[in-house]
Amino acid sequence: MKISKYLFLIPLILLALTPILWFLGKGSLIINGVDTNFPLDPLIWFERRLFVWNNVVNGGIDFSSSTAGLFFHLLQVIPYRIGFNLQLVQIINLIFWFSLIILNSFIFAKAVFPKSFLIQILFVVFYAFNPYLFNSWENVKVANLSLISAIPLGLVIIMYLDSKRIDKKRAVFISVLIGIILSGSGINPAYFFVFFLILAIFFISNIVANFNISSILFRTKNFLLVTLVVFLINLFWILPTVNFIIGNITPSGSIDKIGFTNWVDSLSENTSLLNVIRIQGAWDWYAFDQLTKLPLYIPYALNYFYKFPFILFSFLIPGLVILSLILRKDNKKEIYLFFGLMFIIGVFLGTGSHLPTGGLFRYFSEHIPFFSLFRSPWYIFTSLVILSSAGLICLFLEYLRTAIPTLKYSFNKLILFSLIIVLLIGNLLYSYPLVAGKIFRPGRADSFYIKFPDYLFNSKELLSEKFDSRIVGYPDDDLEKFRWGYIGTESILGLYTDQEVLFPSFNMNNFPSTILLKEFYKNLKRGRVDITYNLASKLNIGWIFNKNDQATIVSEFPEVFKSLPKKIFGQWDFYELKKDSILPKIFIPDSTLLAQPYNKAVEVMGLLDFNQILVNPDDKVVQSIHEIYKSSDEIILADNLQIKDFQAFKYAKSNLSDRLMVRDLSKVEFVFDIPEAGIHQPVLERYNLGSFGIDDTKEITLEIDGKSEVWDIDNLSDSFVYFKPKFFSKGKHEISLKLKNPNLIIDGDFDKGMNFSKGGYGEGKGIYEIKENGLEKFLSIKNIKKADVSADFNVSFFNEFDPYYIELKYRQIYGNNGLAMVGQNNKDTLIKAQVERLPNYPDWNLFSFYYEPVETKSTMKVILSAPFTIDPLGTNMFYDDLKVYRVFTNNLVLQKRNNLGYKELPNVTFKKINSTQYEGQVTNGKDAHILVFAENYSPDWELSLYTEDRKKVLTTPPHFSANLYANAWFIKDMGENYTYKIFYKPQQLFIFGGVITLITIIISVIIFIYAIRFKRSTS
Amino acid sequence: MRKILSSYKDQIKNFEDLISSKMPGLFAFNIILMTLILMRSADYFKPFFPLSIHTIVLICFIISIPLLGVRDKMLFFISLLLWFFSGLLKILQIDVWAERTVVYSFEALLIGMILLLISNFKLPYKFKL
Repeated sequence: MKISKYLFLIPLILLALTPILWFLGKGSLIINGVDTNFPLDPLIWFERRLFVWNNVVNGGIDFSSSTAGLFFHLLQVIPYRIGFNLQLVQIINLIFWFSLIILNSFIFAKAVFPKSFLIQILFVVFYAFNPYLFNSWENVKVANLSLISAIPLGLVIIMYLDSKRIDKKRAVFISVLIGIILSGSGINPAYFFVFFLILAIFFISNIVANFNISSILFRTKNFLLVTLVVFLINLFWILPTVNFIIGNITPSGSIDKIGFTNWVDSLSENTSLLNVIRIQGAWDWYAFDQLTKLPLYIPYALNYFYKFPFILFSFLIPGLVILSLILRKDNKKEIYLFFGLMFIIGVFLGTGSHLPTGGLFRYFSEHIPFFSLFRSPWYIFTSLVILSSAGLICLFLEYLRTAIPTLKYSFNKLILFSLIIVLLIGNLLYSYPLVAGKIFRPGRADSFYIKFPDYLFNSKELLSEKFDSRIVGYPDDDLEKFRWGYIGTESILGLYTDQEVLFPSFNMNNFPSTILLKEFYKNLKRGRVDITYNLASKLNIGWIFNKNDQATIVSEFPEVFKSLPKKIFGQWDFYELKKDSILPKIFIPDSTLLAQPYNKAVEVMGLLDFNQILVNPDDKVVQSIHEIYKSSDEIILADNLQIKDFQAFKYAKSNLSDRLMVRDLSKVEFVFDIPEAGIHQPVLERYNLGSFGIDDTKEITLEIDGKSEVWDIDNLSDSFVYFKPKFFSKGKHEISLKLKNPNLIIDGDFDKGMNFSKGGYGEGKGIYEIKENGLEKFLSIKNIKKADVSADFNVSFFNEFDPYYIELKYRQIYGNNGLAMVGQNNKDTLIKAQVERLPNYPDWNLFSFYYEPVETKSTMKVILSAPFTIDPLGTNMFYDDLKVYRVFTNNLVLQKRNNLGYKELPNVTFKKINSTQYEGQVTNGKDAHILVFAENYSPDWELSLYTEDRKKVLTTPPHFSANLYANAWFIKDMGENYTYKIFYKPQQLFIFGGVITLITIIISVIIFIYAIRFKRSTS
Repeated sequence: MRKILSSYKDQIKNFEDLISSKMPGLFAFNIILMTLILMRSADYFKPFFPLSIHTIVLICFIISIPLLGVRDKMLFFISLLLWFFSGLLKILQIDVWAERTVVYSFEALLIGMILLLISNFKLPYKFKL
């Protein structure tokens, strides 16, 4: 065997070993963070992908498409189980995928450019090293890597079948391998679709270039054979995913409607044709710090934007692509057509909603069913651009190699050789962040190279125990940013445990469980013990995971909860809530409650009794169950007009009309509608009542519909004041409560002189005077060419959890417009600033606005400024009567107790079989009752009931949502004792699809072995 | 390289013949172009249809096919010229113009590609550069 025959492998192997360069000099660090999600326990992650429901995150979520990652994570499990350390597991994994891309693209290049090894290598380099893959590798995106690996092999098989270089038996076997490699792309099914799109473009190009009936039939068979096998192999995730899409996603505008963020417009902001053609459309390249003008995320992006060689090369590549279409060989029509069409389609789709082509893309989004699933167009479709670019450039060089007969002269050969080498080395240099591992941002605060602290691994000891409740993370930042480097979009616990965790989520922002979680955090931070416990019980929270090593501005963990028993692992505290105050995951409530208005029901969740559930009065299923609808307690949330006005201001587009008005915050008005006359108990939130002059231990005087009344206190809890029940007639009512809401600014009327600090810096003068106009005193600020001359007032008794109302009088004498600013600072930095430009007005004018603080320990200042102007006369502003009031945010509710709860509560037990199946038993259940399953509601959760003698009951109990997010079933006539099974139905589709996948693999292997043996025997 | 040069020299030699044979088309092309520019300057069709420069360029590319006998290679050539011109603008940091030029380049590329696709069906037309 000649060794020289295999020398060609050396450059390929060297290229495939690129990931090793990423770890050189990095010690034992591993690449992780943000979207990378490298599991610290691969086995847990692999096992999780055997089920279509992920119970670990925020009350559970459909996980159908994620089962597609089975093969990807299997590759991590194998070396992990052998005993390799995590870093080695990761290196093996990265090398595997890098090798696969190199190998498959080489096979493709060999098929298209069979005669020149250099051109083949050039194709590999252009395909495997480009800015598009920076992002794919940075986040080790399973979907991208699977797609990029599978595309060349898929094309080669069809090509070989068309040219009869391979028989169908072998083609089926290789298609199985392609299907397995491609399976990871199902995590984002849009990528999976792209594979078929590329194959379809290839198929159509071939048909067009060889247009005759027999050719069409022959090629169609080949195309269908490969795509069918790939499809069947992926059926294990396709079936449940399609079921999820059809059941949950409307064909248009779908993403937003299921609570996911639709970011197509924001991602298309920088995908101009210019950037897409040059493969520079990643959004994070264009995120700059407004102050320093430096990139926020991608430091190397500056080279691509401003360095001449990089700009030149970025234009050279597409230039060669277009040139290849001019100087082309007519005997390769189909391949030119294929690459050309793919380039055009890839650029158009990759541009997304960016104009001018974005109009058409938007039209498709609105009119083609499910097109809106392509919510990150550049990331999905640029694979078409990189493949076609690499192909067309190599076709151009192939043209030069073959079209010019003079190439037989060594000089010309040398020129061509040099050109290829220059392009090859040039592209590797152009892609230096990928080659050298700069994509992982070494040395930066947001680096992906992470050394996980020992206490993380030590905490496994606790977290490997079987918890019967959820863990909630604190602080509640959307991003978990640890001081030791790791940044995660999901809870870090998910990387190495199977515990159910609740955390703020970008992606599940509008899920009912996430909304309820926000309410939990709100109350936890304010130290309201009762409500916090009540919400914890509804969310099945048993532990609070306090991360002292998280970089955050969120308030410190509240003192009042620090006395809870805790387990400490380094910087991490796990506080255990009282077990008897937490409801189990499956329970039977003793009563139900209907809340009105239901869209604000989250605000009354804290008022529910321990074992009471909230149901939706607008739910048709609930309405059909007489036992629930007529016997539930009722709760009516009154409209707090101070909150209403504040929210109207907050969500309104900035306008002057709501700033040129005076609001009276010395009283709060509540408006509510009583649907049916009766006795109702008023309940007022107790939080901070004292600061509004309300003594929460004594009766209060208020006005109802203009008549004065005294409300006596019935009882008090940590979070609520319960007044004695009152009769309310049917219809609308208005309650007015007087508040002692003091002005939090000292000497804002300037009657006692200047009691503020002076702002301003630089040259020039700031002249402050107290002027008089009759009995009225006011402040005059004159600014002559000085920056930020201002009067700065501290807000007394600032509480970061309350919104504030600011009111002032001003008069602009001359110069620039006045400014009123609110600044919130902690001891280190400015946290938030709100600037209000005062409209030009030469007479005294009133101006008012609201300020919503960031919830962190800090101070608040109001700044009245006479801004800089270049006019030599400067600016002169008069200010008077500055007032700052706290907004009264406490809710008032009216509850009506029907006291028709279930008299004798059945006992319920349960056992978790896996994340999609729970089984249990109910005893003493002869009365009608409700069974609650505290996992996110889905109509696909099915309850099966079995009588004592194990016979399945054929009727399906009515299924509805409870506590905003959970599943509930109404059960009656089941006898005293029965067993039940709760099952997530799409798991059956996963199993069914998995069986077909396995059968396809087995059949293909048998056919392949048979083909080999047959060939041997015939030869 | 010599082959490329010689083949293009031949084509340049034929340029005179081409111009004389395409004179009526060239005349019509210019008239249409001028009319479109005039209509744009007079805000014709607004607000129902915005006659933008993009649209005019696109129309010019399309009518150049029957009127001037432009084929896919010529359109690719125009696209290439515009592409490198946009590169020059980008290097000079005139980003807005660079982006606009790339749009024209893409339009030429798109129409060229459509022509290339159609040419495979051997339609009865035959235009020569």
